[in-house]
Amino acid sequence: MSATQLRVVLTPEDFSRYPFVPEALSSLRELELTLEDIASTPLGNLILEKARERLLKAVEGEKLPSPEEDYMLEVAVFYTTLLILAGVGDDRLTEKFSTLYAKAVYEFLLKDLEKGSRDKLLYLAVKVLGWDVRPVDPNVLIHFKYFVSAQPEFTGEWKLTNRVLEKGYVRVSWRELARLLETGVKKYVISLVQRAEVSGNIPEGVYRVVEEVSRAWSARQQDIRSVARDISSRRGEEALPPCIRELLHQQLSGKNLPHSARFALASFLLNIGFSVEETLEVFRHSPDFREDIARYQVEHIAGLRGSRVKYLPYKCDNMRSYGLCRWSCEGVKHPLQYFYRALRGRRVKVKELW
Amino acid sequence: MSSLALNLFKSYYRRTYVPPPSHLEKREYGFQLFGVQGMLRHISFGNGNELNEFLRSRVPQHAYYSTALYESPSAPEMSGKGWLGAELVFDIDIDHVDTPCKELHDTWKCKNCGAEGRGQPRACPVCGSENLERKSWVCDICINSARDEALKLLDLLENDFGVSRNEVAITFSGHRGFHIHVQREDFMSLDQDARREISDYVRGLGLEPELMLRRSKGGLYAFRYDAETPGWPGRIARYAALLLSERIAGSGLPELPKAEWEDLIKTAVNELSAKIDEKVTIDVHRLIRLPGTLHGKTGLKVLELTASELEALTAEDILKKAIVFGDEEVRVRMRKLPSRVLLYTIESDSDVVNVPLHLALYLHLNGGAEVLR
Ligand SMILES: [Zn+2]
Ligand SMILES: [Zn+2]
Repeated sequence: MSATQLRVVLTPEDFSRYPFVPEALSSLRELELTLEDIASTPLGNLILEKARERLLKAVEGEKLPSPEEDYMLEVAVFYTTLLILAGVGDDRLTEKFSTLYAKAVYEFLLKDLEKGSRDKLLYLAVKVLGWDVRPVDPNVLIHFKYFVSAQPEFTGEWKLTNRVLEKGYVRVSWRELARLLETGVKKYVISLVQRAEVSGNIPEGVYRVVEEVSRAWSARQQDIRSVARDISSRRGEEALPPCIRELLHQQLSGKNLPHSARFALASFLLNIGFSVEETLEVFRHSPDFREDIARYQVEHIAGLRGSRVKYLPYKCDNMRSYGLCRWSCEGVKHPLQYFYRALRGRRVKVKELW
Repeated sequence: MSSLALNLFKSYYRRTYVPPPSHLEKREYGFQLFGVQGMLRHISFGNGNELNEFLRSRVPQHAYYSTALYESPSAPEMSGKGWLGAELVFDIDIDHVDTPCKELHDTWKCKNCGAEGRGQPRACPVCGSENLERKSWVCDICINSARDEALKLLDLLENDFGVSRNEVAITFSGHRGFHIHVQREDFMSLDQDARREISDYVRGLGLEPELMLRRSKGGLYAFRYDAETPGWPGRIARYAALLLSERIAGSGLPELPKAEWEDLIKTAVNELSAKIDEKVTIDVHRLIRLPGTLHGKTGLKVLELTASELEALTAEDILKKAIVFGDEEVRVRMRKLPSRVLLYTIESDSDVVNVPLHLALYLHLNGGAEVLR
């Protein structure tokens, strides 16, 4: 569907739920609010305080507060939040905030669907995210390249292999489109933060919030690092091959790992004797952690579900080809081999490949 | 002979201008030189002449280029290269397909118990060890099977993914398969998870038969889709209609016990999926053979083909196009000669045979044959 066929279907009320759309941003311009104002006027201080509150929630991984009903206020708070994120400049915090934020957007999209406002979903998909999406009653067609970059899972009904794919288009339901939009919005918000530039000096008042959020975030990271130490010292960190050690560190620092990396890490931990609960503890640090989905996946890998096979981690060759390993360990073809050798006190020579 | 191989390769690069790939200057190149261990990597070229000058002066045994484009392709660390995107590529290698000719040309030797034999067994039939030393060869029969897989892939790309035949560049690898490069700029940014989904799709991996069945009366199951449905469901429905043709009364597929459907779906997927090496598709930093150069194990040319050429040409035609050296007779000695190789059947009880030059080169490069005259 071409973008021009879509009317602007968003009302001011929608701007407060979807403040990231370009039209909402232009309403902010009408407000003629500068960074100076944010730091120095009562309205500005209100905006700043609300942005601060949201970011501190994100640091703790908690649900974000509901959007402001006054859409002008909401849009201002939203963009101020992004500016502060850009000021903090930590990709993991940005990812964490965006994940939580997109989750809330998904709930609004479902409500819109219940009210029969499909055009709002289409508008976000086509006009805002630039997706190639075509409604075909009673479903929607989406070009596969947008589907595969936004699908939330890689098994069962979400797996591309199990979809009807015709001439490049995947047939999805409207609810599924909403779920795909959640991922799309998350990536879009991340890109807004990356593009956000603060021209000139950051006013003192705004800078204080940047500092406060940075401090809270790094304190939180310290907590996480100590968990990492506990976990890996169970067997001694040296017993872990460099690839798994790296994945574990990334995971514990809250990075959103791709599916293959999560599989590699979970299957490794389960195979060296971590319980399902302990493995879940490690994944609890994901920005998009959802207990139900993660538990299902970990139990599946542990062989408690589905095919009832306990999965082995990938071989070293595959780890490398999936981009999860950049080392060569002498005489080791499988990450578990490294672990068992190290456990027997044998040293393994490790070479970094690239 | 090693110097003969080097000289033949040298003569080839002296008389050939290897066409520069698209975005030549944004790609990383890798080469393996004669008699040198390891690969020269992180090489880049500013234009086609520099590339050809390198080939003429260094005469590599193997030449590769990246499917990825980089800001600084010669940076020594992956993190410093500045990844800009990568072509969507599929590798069809006959190692992944059972062919009858493997008994005629492939050999193995068990490193554990010393047993040896022909064919390509998964493990040693004597002691069960998987530690086998293998020697594999290519013949027209191999290329025919690889061609069938490539055609299945083209069908999947066209009908399911909407990639038309003039949007793919096909390469005969110079050994046992084909590389299919999708030439769509809008796919360059796909990440690894996305590429895995595409790879799994063409392999039919992760397909869950249960999602295609509907419970019906009497404990039987109906197939949810008909032959007109696009994608895997329709493909499977058409295949099932063929297999079940005697049991079809009126329109539509019969209702069957669940297990029977599951078997049938599994067979259909096995038959209709394209046997690709998924590692090549998923890896976004991959080096792959550079078209127009020579394959260092066979001396055959890495040959570019269009989709219609692939459809129209026979395996024999493809091999003839890939053979770039003459057929003057050369006497060679080699143990365990393959009985079918390239276009030739070798029937000889002796270790010494007279063969055309291009075959002598192949026997030497891949089998260590000694050139006698
Ligand atoms: Zn054996
Ligand atoms: Zn063969």
